[in-house]
Amino acid sequence: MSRDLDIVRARIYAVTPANTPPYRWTGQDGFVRITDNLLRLTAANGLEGWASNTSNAPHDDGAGAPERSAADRLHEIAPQVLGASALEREAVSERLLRTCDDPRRRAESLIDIALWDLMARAANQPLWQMLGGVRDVIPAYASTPVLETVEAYVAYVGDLAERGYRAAKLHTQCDPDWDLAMIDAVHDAHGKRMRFMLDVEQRYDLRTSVRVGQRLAELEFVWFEAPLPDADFVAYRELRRAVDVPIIPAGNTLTSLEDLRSGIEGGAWDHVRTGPSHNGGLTASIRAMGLADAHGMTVELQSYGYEGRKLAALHLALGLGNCDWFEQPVAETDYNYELAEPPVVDASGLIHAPTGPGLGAVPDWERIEAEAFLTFDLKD
Amino acid sequence: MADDLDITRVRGYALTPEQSVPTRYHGRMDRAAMNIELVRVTLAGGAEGAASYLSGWAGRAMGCFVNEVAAIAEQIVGHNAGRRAALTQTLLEEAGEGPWMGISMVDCAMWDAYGRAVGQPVYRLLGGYRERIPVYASTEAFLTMEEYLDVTKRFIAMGYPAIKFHMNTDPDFDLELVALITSAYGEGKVRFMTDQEQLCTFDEAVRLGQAMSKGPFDWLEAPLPDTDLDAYVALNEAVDVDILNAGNILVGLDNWREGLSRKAWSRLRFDVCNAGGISTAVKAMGLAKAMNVPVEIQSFGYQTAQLANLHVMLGMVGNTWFEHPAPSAPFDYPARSPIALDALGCVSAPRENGLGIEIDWAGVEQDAEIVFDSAA
Repeated sequence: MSRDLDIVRARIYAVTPANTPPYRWTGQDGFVRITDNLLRLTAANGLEGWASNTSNAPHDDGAGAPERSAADRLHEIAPQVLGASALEREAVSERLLRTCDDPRRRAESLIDIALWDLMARAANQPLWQMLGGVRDVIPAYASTPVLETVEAYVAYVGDLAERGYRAAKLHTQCDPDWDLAMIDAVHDAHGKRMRFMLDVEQRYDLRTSVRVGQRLAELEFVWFEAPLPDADFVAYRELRRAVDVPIIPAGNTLTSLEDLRSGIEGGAWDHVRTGPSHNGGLTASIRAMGLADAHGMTVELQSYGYEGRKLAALHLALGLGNCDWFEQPVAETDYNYELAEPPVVDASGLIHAPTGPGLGAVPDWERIEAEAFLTFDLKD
Repeated sequence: MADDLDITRVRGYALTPEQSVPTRYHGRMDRAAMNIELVRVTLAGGAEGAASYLSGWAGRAMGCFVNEVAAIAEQIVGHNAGRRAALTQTLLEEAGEGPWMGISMVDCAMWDAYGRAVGQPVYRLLGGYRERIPVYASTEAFLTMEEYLDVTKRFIAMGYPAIKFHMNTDPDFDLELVALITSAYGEGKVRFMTDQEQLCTFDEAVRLGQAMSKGPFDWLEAPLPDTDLDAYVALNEAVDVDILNAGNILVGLDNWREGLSRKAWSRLRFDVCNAGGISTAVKAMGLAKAMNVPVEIQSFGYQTAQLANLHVMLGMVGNTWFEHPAPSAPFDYPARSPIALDALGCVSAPRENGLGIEIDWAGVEQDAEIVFDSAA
């Protein structure tokens, strides 16, 4: 085997992008600061591959140290990729996942994605085509921040519609009365030109989920996401019996293929939700998409994060096909940091296949190096 | 690059290779011709891809699968090989129930051409899990015990670490063969499998499975009709030896999911050349991994078919054995450098790009009895 694509150097950067404000995804939580964790692999022949994912820590007015556990974990396992080849991604993935004791698998995911990126660059092919190239365009939904008033949601979603979005996923206060009022108001105002999803971040109980879910069914929501804790298959199954809106999990805590299978076989969800940047990478996600396809399900991929995370999910969705929507965090500028030309949703609410090799774009490493609060540089 | 990947021409050839030997899969049939049905796609940039399937058996007249390809040629020409899974998905949706020889061959040929165009072997595009895989010799069926025992000695001497018999399928004959193999090789390292070609009754399958579970047998394959999942479930419960489907009849992700969920089979068996191609196999491997069952991909066929299946076995985790028709020489067509058993009892992928097979197309054209050419 040619050793050209052996990994000789791994660099890890943790950055707190200044353009991202403190965030929260329910009205019940404190704000968090977002860290962008990037992995940059260099092969013996000089080609590079990369990947990224977010992590976060409580926002404490900037007094405390930024979140660094994700980068530290990456630093801990990255030596295992030195000397491995991008030509043997499946073997690397098997080794890493077999010994992985972190259910979030973020570090393993970034290694796998960066190897796929590198491989596709070596073939001078866009990654989605290397994966099979089922589709070259996919509709995007705007994944909203939490807003403080019903009026603010109506205005915000109106702006999204004006800009071409045809669907929006609402992150909400997660107070059911408030949420129902907001949902009705937003639907009244924009229901003729937009479709909606609701994401309540596992904060409802079963009774509340049934109550809200029934309304979502009447309003023909695309899906109801994460009403209950991911692992509570029994309650999920009850909910699915009681309401007629598609139910999907959060997909953050159940990451292994076995967990996804258990949820599917347990009748917990209508579709699967997971993401290549935290479930073990593209290798693991390809398997999840095969599993879901065999059950007639789509996998609604998470891509809430910076460009690296978005691109990995986008290529997978386009390459394998059984994913109906691309998740675009809004405001877009909050999560555009790594690339000079981030992927964009067009005026029809669609996102098109990248044309460059690999993930299709490379970060401005000099800038990221300059702004990183933490850097590791490992050499073979 | 995008334009270079456009398919400009698709051709099909059917012939009986000169080196081929009429073969029987079970003792109740006459020897059948081993025709090859070849597909050849050409991309705008010059790269070509090939795939094949067998005809000549069970009423499959020469040219039947070339005709399937001819029927979809208009959809193939002009399609971009970078988007091969899109074409396969569309064709499968239109086709209804499988198996799908024509569509699957086209998918494999597109992967071959794509791999050549981008300068990588297919198994590395898929994941590059490993460089070699253990092999079993897949024998033809015989009418006498002497022939079975003779090929067993011969293939073991050649270095095959395992042998799968296409069985006579006379119940008493088969039980006697299992007893003889158990007594002669029960303590050794060589492993055995049997293939019943879906011809057992349920009671025969139970008796055979019980006998095999006491010997050096890895699995009992295709004892019952592929579609009779109820009987497979009962059989799999009744015997200790692993039970495999035939994998030729009941194909597709939904059928495999159903069979595995119901525990009809101990392992998953399919052939990329009739089950939706490499694009579908990628997902099937994910399903099997999620279900925690080994995969035993079928690779009985000519070199083009052996290689398409081998690349999936090498590229992705989950498959145990490579099936090598034995003797192999009649099935080496149309490769100039066929796959060979190595000293470790394994086979490796060719080093060349795509599926890695070098074909003498001029020779194929000269020998072809039936030809389809989209450019004609």
